[in-house]
Amino acid sequence: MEWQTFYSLEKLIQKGRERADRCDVVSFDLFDTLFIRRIHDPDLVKLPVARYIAACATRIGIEISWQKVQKIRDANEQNQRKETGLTFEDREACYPVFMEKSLQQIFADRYTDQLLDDVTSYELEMESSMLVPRGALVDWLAELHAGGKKIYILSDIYLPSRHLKTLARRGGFLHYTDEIVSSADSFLAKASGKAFPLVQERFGLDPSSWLHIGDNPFSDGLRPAQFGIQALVLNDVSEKQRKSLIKRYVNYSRGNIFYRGRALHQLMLPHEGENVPQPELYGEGYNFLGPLIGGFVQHIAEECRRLGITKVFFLSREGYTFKKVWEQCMPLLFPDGILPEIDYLYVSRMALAGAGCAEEGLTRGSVSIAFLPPGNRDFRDIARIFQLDLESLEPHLSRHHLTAETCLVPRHEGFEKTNRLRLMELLDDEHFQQEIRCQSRSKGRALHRYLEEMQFFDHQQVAIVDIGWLGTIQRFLYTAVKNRADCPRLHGFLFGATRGVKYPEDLRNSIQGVIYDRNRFDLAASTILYARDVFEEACRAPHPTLDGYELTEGGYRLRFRREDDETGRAEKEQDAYFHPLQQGIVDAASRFGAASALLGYSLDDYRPWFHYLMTAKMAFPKSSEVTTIRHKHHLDDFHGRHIPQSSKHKERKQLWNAPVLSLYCSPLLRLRYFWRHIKDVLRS
Amino acid sequence: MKRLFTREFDISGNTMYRVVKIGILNKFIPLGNFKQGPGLRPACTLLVLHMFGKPLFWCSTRFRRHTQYLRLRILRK
Repeated sequence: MEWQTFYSLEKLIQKGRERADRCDVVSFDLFDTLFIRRIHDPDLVKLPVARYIAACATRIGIEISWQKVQKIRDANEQNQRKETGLTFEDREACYPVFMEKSLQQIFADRYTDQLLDDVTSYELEMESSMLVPRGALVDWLAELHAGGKKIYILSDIYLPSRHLKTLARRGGFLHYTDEIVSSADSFLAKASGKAFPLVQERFGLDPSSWLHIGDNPFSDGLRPAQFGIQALVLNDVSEKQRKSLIKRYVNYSRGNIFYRGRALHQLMLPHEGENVPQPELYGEGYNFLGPLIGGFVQHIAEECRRLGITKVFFLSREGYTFKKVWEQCMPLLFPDGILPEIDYLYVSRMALAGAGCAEEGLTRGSVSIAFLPPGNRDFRDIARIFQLDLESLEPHLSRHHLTAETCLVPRHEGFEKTNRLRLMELLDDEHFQQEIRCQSRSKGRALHRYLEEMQFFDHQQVAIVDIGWLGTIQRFLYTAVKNRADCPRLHGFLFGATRGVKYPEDLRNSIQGVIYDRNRFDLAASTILYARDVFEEACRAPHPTLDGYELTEGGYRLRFRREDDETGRAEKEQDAYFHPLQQGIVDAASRFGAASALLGYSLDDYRPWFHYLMTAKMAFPKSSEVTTIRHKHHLDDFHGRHIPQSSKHKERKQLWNAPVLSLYCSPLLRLRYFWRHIKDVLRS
Repeated sequence: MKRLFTREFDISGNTMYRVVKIGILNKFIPLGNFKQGPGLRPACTLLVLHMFGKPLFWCSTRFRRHTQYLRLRILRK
C-alpha cells in the first residue's frame, strides 16, 4: 500500500475526512502532528531540567554543573538505547528508567523517589509550555470522536504513555482519544514498524480499516503502508519555515548577543489557536511591555537569590502588575522554589510623606521633593502633600514672617529669595518641628501597625519594587521606619531611576534602576523618559491611590482616594482603556518564563534587544503606535494647581504629546526630538 | 484588531524589517548600545526567510524527490 504526502494541513484534513469515512480506526502521531513545538530542537527542553537538577543538588551541598548533569543524562539514555538495541529492533529509551539512574548517580544515597517525581513534573511542565495543539487537527479529532471512530495516538519517544497523557490532557484532546501508545513502554516503535502489529493485537484492530496520520515519511508513511494501513503524511511547508526561523534566531543568539532577546521574543509568540486577533493595545502589552517587565522581575529574582533577600514588597500601584508577572514567570524560571516571599504593599507618596514626618519632622530634602513639580509654589502645597493642619502651623509661619500663600519657588510670580531663607529657618525651628511631629504621630503609628501586620520587620533584608522614578516612596518609607531596631535592610529596585534629587543611600537603604538608571549612561534605555506616564499607567492597579494611614482603636485603617469625583472617574476611564494592554503584559509573563528558562539567559543578555525595543517604540515610534499607546488621563496628587511664570518655566514639547498631524506629516520629527534627547542626556 | 504573530512568523509591530531599519540608522546616529546589532549576514538571512520563506520552502519541499530518511535507506542498502 502507498502512502500519500501533503504539503498543507488543510489538504491533508480534506483527504483524511474522505478516507476516514471508510475507516473504523484513526491513529495519529503526537509530536509535530497533533502538537507543534515552539522550539526547533526538542532536546533544548532538556537543558532547563539539567539546570533544575543541578540547583537541587547544590541546595543539599552537592556541587555539580548543569552541563555535567546533562552529560550524565545523555550517557544513561544512550546506554539504555544500546541495551534495548540488543533485544529489540528499535533502540528506544524510557524516561523514568534512565532519569532514575541519572539521579541516583548524582545524588547517591540522598536520592529519593520524590526527587524523581519533582524532576519529571518539571520536565513535563517545560515540555507542555513548548507544545501547542494544532487547532485544525484537534477539531478534526473531535469530529472523528463524535463520529464514533476509535482514535489512537502513537508516538516514538522516551516518555511513557502516562506522561504523554499528561501532555495531551494539557493540550485539551485526551478525552477524544481511546489510548496513547508510546514506544517507551514496549520498546516497539513505529520506526521499525513493530508498533503497528502491537497496537493491532492489543486492541483487536483491522489494518484495512485503519488510517494513520503523521509527519515522518518513514515511520508514519512507509511503515504503516507496509502493514496494510492507509497512511497520510504531513510535510508542512509553513512549519518548516517557522522552525528554520527559530533555529536561526537561537543559533545566532549564541554568537551575537543582540539576538538573545529576539530569540526569547520569537519563543514567546503565540501559535495556532493562541494567535487570535487581539486589540492593538493588547499587542503592545504582549510584544513590547511584556518582555521588558519579564526581564525586570527576572533580574529582581536573581538579585534576591544572590543577596539572600527573603521578602519582596511590590509597591502600589504599579507593583500590582509586577507582582502578577512575577507569579506567572517564577514557577518555570526558578523551579527549585528558592525564592523570597512576595507581598503587595499599599503605599503612596502622599500617604508616606505624612507618616514619614512622625520621626524626623519636615526635612529640607522632603521640602525640595515637594517643590519639584512645577504646580507647587507655597506652604499650602507643603501642607497638602504632608497632610498637615495649616491652622495650627500659622503661628510658627508668622513667627518667621511667612504665610501659607507666600511664594517659595523661583518659577512662580512673587518669589523672593528672603522667603526661601525664612523657610529654611522655619525648618530649623525646633518648636515648628515638634508641632509637625505631633501632627504626624498618629499617621506614623498607623503605618507601623500596617507594616507589622505585613511582616515587614520580620525579615533582615527586603526588596522594594516600584516603577520609579526618584525613589520618593522608598525614601519616605525608610525615613518612617529607620529608627526601629528591627528595621530591615531595604534594597530598592526601580524599573527606571531618573534620580532628580540625590537619593540618601546608606548601608541599610539602597536603590537601583534596573531597566534605566540615570547613574549609568545608557542612551537607548533613557528613551523611557519620552513617555514615563505611559509606563506608569500601563502597570497601575485598578484601585484608587492611597491617601493615608489612619489610627483606629484596634489597629489601623487604609484610607483610599475617592473615586466619584472628576479625577477618580478619569482614572477609571484610563484603567478601562489600558485594560487590554495590562492583559497583554500578564499573558506574556508565563510565556516569558518558559522561554527564558529554556534559553537560560538573564536580563543582561536581553538588554541589547530591549534597547532596540525601547528605541524603536519610544524614540522612533510609528504614528499609529503613539496614538494608540499614549494615555488619556494621568493623575498625580503630588502636583499642585499653580501655573508657573511662562518666562521661568517652559513646558517642553514632547514627541509623545505631538499632534497627530505632526506625527504623520512633519519631516524628520523623530530625529529632531532624538537629537534634543541626546543633548539632554549628555548634559545631565 | 491584529494577530501578534504575522503570517511571515514575525513579531507584529516589530518586524525584522524595522529591526534592520533601526540597525542601519544606528550606523549613522548613536541610538544606544545594541552590542553587535543585527549584523549584516544574519539580518539578510532572516529578512529573506521572513519575507520570501514561504515560496522558498514550498519549492524545496515540493521538488525534493526523496526525503532524508529514504535517502539514508538507499545508502544503507
